[in-house]
Amino acid sequence: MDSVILKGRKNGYEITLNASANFDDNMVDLNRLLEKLSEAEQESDSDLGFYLKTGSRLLNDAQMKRIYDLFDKYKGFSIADLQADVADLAAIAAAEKVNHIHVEMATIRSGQEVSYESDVLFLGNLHPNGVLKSRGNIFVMGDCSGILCAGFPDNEDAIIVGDISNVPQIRISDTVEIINKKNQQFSKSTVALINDLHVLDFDTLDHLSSLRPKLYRKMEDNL
Amino acid sequence: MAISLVITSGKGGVGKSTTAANLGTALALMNRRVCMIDLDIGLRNLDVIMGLSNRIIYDIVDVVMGRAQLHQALVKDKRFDDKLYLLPAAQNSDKNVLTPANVVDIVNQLRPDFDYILLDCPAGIEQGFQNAIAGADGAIVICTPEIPSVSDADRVVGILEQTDMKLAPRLIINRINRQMMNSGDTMDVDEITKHLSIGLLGIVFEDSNVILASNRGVPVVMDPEDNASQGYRNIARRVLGESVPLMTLKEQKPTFFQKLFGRHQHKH
Ligand SMILES: Nc1ncnc2c1ncn2[C@@H]1O[C@H](COP(=O)(O)OP(=O)(O)OP(=O)(O)O)[C@@H](O)[C@H]1O
Ligand SMILES: [Mg+2]
Repeated sequence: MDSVILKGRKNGYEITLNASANFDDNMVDLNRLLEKLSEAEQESDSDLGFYLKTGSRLLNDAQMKRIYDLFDKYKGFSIADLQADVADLAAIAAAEKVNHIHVEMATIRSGQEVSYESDVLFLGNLHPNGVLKSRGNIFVMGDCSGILCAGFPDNEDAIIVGDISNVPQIRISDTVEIINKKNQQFSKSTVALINDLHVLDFDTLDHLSSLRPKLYRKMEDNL
Repeated sequence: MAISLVITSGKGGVGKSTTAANLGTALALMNRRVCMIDLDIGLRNLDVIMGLSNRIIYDIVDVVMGRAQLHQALVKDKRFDDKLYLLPAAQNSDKNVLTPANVVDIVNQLRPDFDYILLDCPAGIEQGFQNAIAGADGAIVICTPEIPSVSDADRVVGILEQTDMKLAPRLIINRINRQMMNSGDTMDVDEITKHLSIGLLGIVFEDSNVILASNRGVPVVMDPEDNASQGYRNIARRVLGESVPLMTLKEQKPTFFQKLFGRHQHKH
């Protein structure tokens, strides 16, 4: 019953559905909790209002309906309020965007600048004088002969992964590097990043676990 | 009802007006009714290339300002019966008097009387360019096998893709020097087409007769034997929907030295 938390409030009960748990588990635990409460409240015939909180999880219509249907089974129980913690829904939407990786197949032509809030997996063509910009990381597999900007404007943890042999210039956060093929060998597993000395540096993907452990773990989780 | 096509390039001097004149003439030779509109206000050329300069009475700005009726401003090319007309640009008026809406209006008035309307676009991507693309159902993008020209064409294709035209843009690669292309000194046709990723409408070779013809006011396409002329004729046939194979890049007659050094051999 750990995925739901019950608290008393002066005008009823407050139940928090732990957003880090699976929603189905939330429902099982909620059902069990309500069962117990209804046994305890059998004697009293006054109606009980519940204040439900879903933390950082935004419920969809089907999920909401399941909760309302569940409460309908218990006589005298009703939902006084059901809402997520986060007041600003736009912020959640933005966060979702950041967590998820955008797959881009387009051609970015000369003079065009395309920006993303999220990480980008770029499978398209970036032409000379085109710009691909992201607040997060950029993974390139397509042909890139334009400028890549990761971590724009101030995310120093951002990285650029992929063969950037034909890219004239990369930027991460506020650093800029003019690419010189002569001085540097690039391959599909090249990683460009800002190192501890705040200098734009190159490494390879097999060192990602030590270079960016958090990102590494996140990527492993998603695979 | 006419189809209107803008001939554009971004970069200046790559052959937009030459293409408009020769494509227009080729289509007229194939019995289509064609109206060419010169939108390069202040730097009009199309009339010169067509040899029609001395017959201009009114121009497009006169029409827009209400000083002339549209039909009064159309210059008829007498070599082609009733098939070929030119609406000239103004030579000495403020180029900002023309708006996209004016061009759309004029094109729509002309549509019932023609099969093709060709809009000769000024270089650049400013107002004059915006005017020209506003009136077009589709675009023909001209570039030469030089990187600055291909880069500008790329810029233009990007803009065209964002304005929803009825027809997808198509490419003409102009001023191809066979020898340089075969020896890898310029980007080749495949590379350019692949890079710009738009359909290839045709290629035209570098040909000094183009310049001679423009000077004489007789578009080169009127000479069926000429090399560039064949390029333009093939382009016209493709515009009409025929499928015509691309002209070969092989040198016709390798010179003695080319034979000696094997440079005439085709790359592929
Ligand atoms: N295939 C060709 N072979 C040789 N010369 C050519 C060819 N095509 C065009 N030219 C020459 O190139 C010059 C520029 O051509 P043109 O005026 O058609 O270009 P444009 O793109 O209309 O220029 P602008 O941007 O100034 O309007 C002219 O002198 C023309 O004769
Ligand atoms: Mg011109």
